[in-house]
Amino acid sequence: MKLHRMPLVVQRMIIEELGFNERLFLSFTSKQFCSLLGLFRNDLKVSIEIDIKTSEVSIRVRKPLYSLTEGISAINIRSSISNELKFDIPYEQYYVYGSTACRIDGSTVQISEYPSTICCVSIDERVGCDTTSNSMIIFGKVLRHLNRFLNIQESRQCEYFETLPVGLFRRLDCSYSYGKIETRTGCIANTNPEDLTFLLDNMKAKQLILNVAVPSAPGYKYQKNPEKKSCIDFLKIVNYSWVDFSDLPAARGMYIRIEIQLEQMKTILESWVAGRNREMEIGFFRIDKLTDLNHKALISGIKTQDTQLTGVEITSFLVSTIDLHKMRFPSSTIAVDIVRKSDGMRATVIEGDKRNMFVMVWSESNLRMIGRATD
Amino acid sequence: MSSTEQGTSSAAPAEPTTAPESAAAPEVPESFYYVHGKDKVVHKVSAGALQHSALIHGMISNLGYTEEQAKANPFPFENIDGDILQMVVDWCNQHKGKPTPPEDTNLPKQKEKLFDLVLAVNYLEIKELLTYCCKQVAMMVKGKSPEEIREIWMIPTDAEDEAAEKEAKKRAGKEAAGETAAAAGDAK
Repeated sequence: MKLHRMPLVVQRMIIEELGFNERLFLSFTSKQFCSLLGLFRNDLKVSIEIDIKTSEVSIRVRKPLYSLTEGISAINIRSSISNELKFDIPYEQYYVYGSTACRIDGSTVQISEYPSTICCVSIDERVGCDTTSNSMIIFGKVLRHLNRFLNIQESRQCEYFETLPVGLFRRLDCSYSYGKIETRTGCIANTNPEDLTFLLDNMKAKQLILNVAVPSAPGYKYQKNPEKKSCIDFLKIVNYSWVDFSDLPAARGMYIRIEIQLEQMKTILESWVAGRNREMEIGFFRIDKLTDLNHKALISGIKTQDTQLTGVEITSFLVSTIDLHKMRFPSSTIAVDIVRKSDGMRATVIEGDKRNMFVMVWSESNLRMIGRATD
Repeated sequence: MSSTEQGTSSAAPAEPTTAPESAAAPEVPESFYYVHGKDKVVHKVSAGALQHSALIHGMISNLGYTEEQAKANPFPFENIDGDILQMVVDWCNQHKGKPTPPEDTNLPKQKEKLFDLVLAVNYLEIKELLTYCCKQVAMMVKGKSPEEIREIWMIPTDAEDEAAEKEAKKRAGKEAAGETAAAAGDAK
């Protein structure tokens, strides 16, 4: 039976009868069939999650609806969670006994079977052994392969549990819109300017949570590419050694979790008034406890106005955004407005309990959030 | 047109194979049509059974044959093997005027036969039977590994696909060169 000789309409009907696993295995058979599956991928909606761990990278592919348990007898996969299939790509490349060889995006990959997991190890001659960068190549290839024939509707999260392998960020697929990308290394993870720039310039994410440093380039400050439009909704930065406060990374919401210096806070506000940092619509920052003296220093040289927000609106803003910053609700607040010179856009700067700074730009979405009509 | 019936040669289909009639005969006499495949064996099929095939149904509607004309002019399906056409006719007769069940277990198990049936059914535009056939084809690879799938569906490897593509390009190039030479010859 030569399926490739069947009329397209028949191929489509047959493919539509195939389950997720059969489509996956069919996609490994040839490039042509992978492309064919891509034509009919609309009915196969999945989400993915990426975990970067000590010994491997994992890609979890999840279907929204799936039977509770499904066995795949041929490769002995039986998933108890069953709505997901996991691809493990170990950093240490090795020969996997009993595996089958598959071509993924031009590389030969051993595919071996564990419960609900497919282990992908490269046996491509061009790729050496035992290097993380090789596994990163396979990671990128698996991700691209999945994207070719699956309808990836949601990329829920991408979490880094351990050190960040060099080049890893650049392997991520920019066509996804990630729910969350987070480095969860427990301490500051080292990265390099190229990886960091790629991540901040190219990725689409609802939340990007970074605790990274760039030790390979002392004094490095990330400079955003003005030609790239930010697609990060909320950026949470822990270690900020690479942040240029006069030109913050582009994100609608910005939270710097570790205390910043008074001068750095002042730079953020001055730059905003001067027309930079304009992607920021919401900002949360922690600073050293303000005294009356340094409060004056913070706003000296910046033209401020009495705030036009009411007390209720300020409370509404703080309540609406508390899930983002998770800072203690302030018992006392002082608010002033600043105005951007170039277009007259207003922002309210709220100082809470003399140590937390909240910035609310008067964008349409923020005004809607606090209940003010925007007509 | 010469035609054979169950291997017997005859100029006209005198006694074509008839499908088992349903017990409840229709009050109005049913009209019958005749089809034959590659083997020229003529099958007599009622118009009711043929309604399953959008292609034949369309042909009947357009032709407006009398019984005699239909008998003298069986529909020829030279691209369909005789045994496959027999299967199709049997299925159409079995499901004449009945709602189609959710699945059909009487489809051939041998993959080559199933493949031919799929092509025939697709050509004859018998939607329900095509759906059953496609389900059956899909079932063949359930629980199979990539290599087993390749074997069952005879999927060429990337290298084979590339070689076939090269060959096709070469052939197309030669044909184009031949046409150009012929055109030049005509011009002279």
